[in-house]
Amino acid sequence: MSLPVFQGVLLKLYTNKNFQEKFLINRQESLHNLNLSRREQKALLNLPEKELKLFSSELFHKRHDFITAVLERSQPNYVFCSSFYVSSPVIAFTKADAKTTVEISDGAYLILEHMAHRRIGLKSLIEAYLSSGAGAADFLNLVSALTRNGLMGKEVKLF
Amino acid sequence: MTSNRELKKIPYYGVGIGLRNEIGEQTMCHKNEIDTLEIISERFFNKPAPVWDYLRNFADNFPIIPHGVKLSIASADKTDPEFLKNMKKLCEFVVAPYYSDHFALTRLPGADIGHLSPIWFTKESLEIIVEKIDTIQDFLGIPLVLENINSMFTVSEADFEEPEFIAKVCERTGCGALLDLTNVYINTHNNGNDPYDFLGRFPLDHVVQIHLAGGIIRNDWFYDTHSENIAGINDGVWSLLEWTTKRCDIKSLIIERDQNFKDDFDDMLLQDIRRARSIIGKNGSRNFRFN
Repeated sequence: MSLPVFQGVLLKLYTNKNFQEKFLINRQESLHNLNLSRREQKALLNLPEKELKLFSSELFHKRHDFITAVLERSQPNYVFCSSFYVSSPVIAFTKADAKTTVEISDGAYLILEHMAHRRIGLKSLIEAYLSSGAGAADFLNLVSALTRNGLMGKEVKLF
Repeated sequence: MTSNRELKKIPYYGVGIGLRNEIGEQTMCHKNEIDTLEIISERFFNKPAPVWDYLRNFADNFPIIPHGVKLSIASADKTDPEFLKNMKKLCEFVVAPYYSDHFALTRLPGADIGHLSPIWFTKESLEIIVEKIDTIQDFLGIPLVLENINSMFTVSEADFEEPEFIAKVCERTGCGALLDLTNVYINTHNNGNDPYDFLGRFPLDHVVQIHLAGGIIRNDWFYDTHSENIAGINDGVWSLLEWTTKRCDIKSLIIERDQNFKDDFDDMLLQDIRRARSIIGKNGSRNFRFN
């Protein structure tokens, strides 16, 4: 059954600008190595370009406005985590009174998904990493990004 | 096939609005003119006591219908047991007659787009959705009611068109349909189809609730923004309501407003509430009010 893969490709097309651009330039090529049935491939190849772009643009603006509003209203002791922004997941936080977003890998997002409503610390990060199935490189890069931006001790919120 | 018998037992909840923080005070001030409130379910999931106190205040004054946006009934995975528990906790708290969400795909493990996207209307999707609805209805003990969404496109190579797919799901599970007439109006406007043809194929005997809202046209595209009165370019929605209420025994109608809030509550929402109530009353549905 490849429906989960098919749905994953759809969501990635809606939310990942780089992937969508590659897809629209050469649809066949971008689906080449994916485990999709002929029917699923055909359904993806037939997606209307204009409407696909409109939809992902709407998603981006909705997400952008939401992040801005949340950061404006919230205390600076939270890190907000979204599974997509422009081309990848993102963490968003307030730094020096300004909205800051940092792109992270899909694996790092999986770790943070296990951190929802928890305070960021080495112990909680390791626990989340072990139950997330993410790679060691994702873990190390995430720890580095959180430390570099002074986010240890803050609480993770998903949106 | 499962009958719609459970749906028929739901009492009439009248005409109301979606509760939003921005209009909470105005909503309470006008409680005698609003029959019922619809709440966005996920805003109360895993929230601290003050958020539930806020909800209690409204639940003491209005019948409440929970309406979710993150169920993602089409996702090819199992519904998260924690999510189900949150649904049930909320339903019990507000003594909900049913729980509603959407015919949509919004997330997969590790990816949540935070928005409703169209379902691929295939036999495989149908089986996944039917199994999920059976599980959810058994767990909640009340009907699940699912809404047709606003979508900018459809996914091709499908086995069914949208109304036939929804009819199959309703027939197989006995679940209810939430008919968003504005979504029908906007989708058919954008794709050049006939809204009455869509409605004629929709499972009207399973319609429990109706949604109305106002959208805008920008660059020749009609957007479902929930930001306007049901007037002007949105006026055609009223004809669809006339047509539908002559053929459905609806249990509630909710007017959705998510932005462009105004101080003049009467102009923003109450006039549309009165007009909807008048159409429902005229066309034979009951005109009972709780307050």
